[in-house]
Amino acid sequence: MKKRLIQLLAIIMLLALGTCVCFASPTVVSPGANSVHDGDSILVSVKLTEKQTIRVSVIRQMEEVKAAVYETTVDEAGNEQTKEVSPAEYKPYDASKLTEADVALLAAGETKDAKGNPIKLSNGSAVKTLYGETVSGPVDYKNASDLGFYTKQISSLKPGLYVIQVDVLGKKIEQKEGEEASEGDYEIIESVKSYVALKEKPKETPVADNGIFSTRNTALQFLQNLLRSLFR
Amino acid sequence: MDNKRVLQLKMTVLVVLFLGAILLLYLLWMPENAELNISRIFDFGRAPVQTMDHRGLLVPDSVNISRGDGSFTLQVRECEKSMELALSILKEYYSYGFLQLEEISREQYLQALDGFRSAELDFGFSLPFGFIAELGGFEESGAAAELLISRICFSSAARDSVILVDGQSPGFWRLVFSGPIDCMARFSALELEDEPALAWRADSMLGLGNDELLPLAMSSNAIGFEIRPEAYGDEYLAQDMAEDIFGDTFDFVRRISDSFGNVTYMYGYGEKSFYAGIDGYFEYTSSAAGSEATGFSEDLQRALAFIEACGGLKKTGESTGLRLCGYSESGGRVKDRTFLFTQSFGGRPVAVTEGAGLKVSLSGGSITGFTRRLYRWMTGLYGDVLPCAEASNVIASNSNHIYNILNNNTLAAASSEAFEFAAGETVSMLPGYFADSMDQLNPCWILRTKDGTAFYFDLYNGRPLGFCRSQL
Amino acid sequence: MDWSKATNILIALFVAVDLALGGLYFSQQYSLAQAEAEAARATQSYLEERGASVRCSMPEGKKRMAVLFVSIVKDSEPLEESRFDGYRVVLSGSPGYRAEGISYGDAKAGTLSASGALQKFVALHAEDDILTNLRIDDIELVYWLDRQDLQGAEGQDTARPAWRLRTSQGEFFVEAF
Repeated sequence: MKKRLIQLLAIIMLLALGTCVCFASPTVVSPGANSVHDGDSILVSVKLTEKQTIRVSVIRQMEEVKAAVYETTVDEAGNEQTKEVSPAEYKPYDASKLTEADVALLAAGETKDAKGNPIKLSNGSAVKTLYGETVSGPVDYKNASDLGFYTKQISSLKPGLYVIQVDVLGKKIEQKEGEEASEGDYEIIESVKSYVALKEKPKETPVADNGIFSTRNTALQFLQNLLRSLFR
Repeated sequence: MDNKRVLQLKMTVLVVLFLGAILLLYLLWMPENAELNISRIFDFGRAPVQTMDHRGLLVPDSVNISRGDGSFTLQVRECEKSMELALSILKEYYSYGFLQLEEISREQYLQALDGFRSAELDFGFSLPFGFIAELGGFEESGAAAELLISRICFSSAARDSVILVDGQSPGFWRLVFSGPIDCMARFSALELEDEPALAWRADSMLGLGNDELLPLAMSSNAIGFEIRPEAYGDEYLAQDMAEDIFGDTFDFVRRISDSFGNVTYMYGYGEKSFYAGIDGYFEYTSSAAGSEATGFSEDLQRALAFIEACGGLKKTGESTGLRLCGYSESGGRVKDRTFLFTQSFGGRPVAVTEGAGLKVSLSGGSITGFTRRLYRWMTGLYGDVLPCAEASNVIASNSNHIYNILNNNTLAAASSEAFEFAAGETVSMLPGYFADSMDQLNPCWILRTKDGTAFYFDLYNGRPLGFCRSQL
Repeated sequence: MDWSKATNILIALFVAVDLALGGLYFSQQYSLAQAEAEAARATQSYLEERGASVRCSMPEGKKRMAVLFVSIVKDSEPLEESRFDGYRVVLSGSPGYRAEGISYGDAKAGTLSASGALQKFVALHAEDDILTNLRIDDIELVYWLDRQDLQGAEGQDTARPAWRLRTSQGEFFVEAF
């Protein structure tokens, strides 16, 4: 009897696992995960392999410069009340010296390793906890076929670290009594994030050749041209 | 008095004798029968016919401007202005002095385009650079003239160079000149009415596929409307064309018509055959190949002269402008050449059920055939500006269809396989028009694949409208 | 200037020229006729050698004819001949159909004579057995169209003048243009 119960349980678990696996997550095709780009534009491209609705936001990563200041007061009844005196201050996270490996570490979000030591980036600074500021979106997109793409170019971005967040939307959350009717309150089934670092595009040098072509052996090229013109 | 009369009489006799001599000479030297001699048939290769202006013929299918960060803007209208600018820049480069022609790698080409501000004119087909030199009025008689190129690129990566690309073979070259020109400043200064669309490379946009550019979020005010075949209302057009083709022998050719009214004119046992369909489709074939070693320009001139002499372009309404949209050649010294021409509307090409509206083939400098399906439209119609179907989703939703057509009616094992295949085969995706068999002009996406097949999808909802295999 | 003398000289000159040209022309025509007759004789003797014989009279002369536009229709009354302006209209290669003449083409061209057609026929079949003991019963100028390539189709087509030879080995057509 016990053996049968265990077998039944195993089957149920397998079935449950199976149903979980068939749900396909959206993939952020562009920008590449943990990639580093020059310039002020990125192409956001999300590949969807199921009929689903997604919500896409581009969030700039900020670091805390100054922590919030709180004041705790005790009232007549003896209750403690904590009040914020000054808000926290943030500045955009400086991504100018980040490598792809650094972005991967920041994406992982772990500030300390297994031994408890702080995780360091390539420039020596420690991995910090970062906060988000939405710079584009959220935009909802409904995919009505078995394969679809959400594509959008986000331009005029300042250099920094960005997260492309793709939330898979589910059912509409039921309004609680007394609450204001607000649009866009959907259940979020899953969230996919992709980190990208944007750096300032280096100024173009107004020279004849920026080094792409100078690797060719010009003597060989001259000979090639001579032969080509002879046998034309 | 008497003498005068005698003299007059003598003069009359003299005139009669003179005319008699002429008549006898004619009888002696002219053949008695009206011989059906092939050499007497109007030879379009040698007849001096008024030729069309070449400049308007070659217009890039798109002009791709890179901002240097991987993003592009795609210009699909007013490309003639960019062409004029490109030719003037090339002429200036040549005036500074041509140094060398250098072969470069695909990687170098992509680096020059993606990593730096650049402008690329894409014709959509390959043609000799020597012809472009002719159009631009600069001298290029070296190895570069023989190159078949489909794209001309100017990049701030190398201000002393012009990059040439043959998209078909593929091949990449760099023309190096003595003096640098800030080409991008000149392209930026071009005043265009239309807002160009954004574009990215397919592998960035789709996660797989190739590095061809695909448009992103395009809008258009193009709408569909009814058009007329060029023969509409002109019942003599077919006969006029046949008379132009057969010349003196027209009265002796075999004229076959079927119960629908399609007519075939045939000389001999098919040495020359001209088909005129009532739906406005014309086809001419001739087995008489020439043996002249003609150049591209000469053959193009002959092809245009033939079109002008046989049917012309007078009756095509608003858009009489023909654009060169395809070219192929084969053979050694004596070449077989095929030219494809298309009508255009609103700056965009008009595709017909055969593909290009006009196809002319030559062998050894003689016309060996043409196909023709041209339309007329009285007024151009435009609607409100609406967003077009996204290129990525058009490919995604039609990938099984594309797979099916390109793989001879076999189905892909999985839609992911079909999508990967379709994305990899796509060479370009640009807006245009498709004239269907119901004489309706439909705004569409024209998706071209590596083997030359063109797929037509509705511009706004992405549904398939038709396809056409390569005519070359 | 003595016009009278000058005109006399010119008249004499042109008379001489015209006579010479006329002579040339007539001798040319004569030798052409001779050649034709010779060819006809040669054909006749060649046919005799092969045991063939011509059992009909050969029509004389050459005509200038145009093509004939015809309409191809299903043969409702197969016994009736199709004729146009006195010429028989013969359709080959399309059983069950007949060709009805509609109108002539715009221009005329010279055609072979009956004799010439016979020579062409002999030349075409010199290498094979058809000519051996062939009996040619009839030779007639008709309008002929071979529609083997378009069997079973109605519509319009173009018939051309041809000589129809009715022989012991069947019907043969020789294009007259």
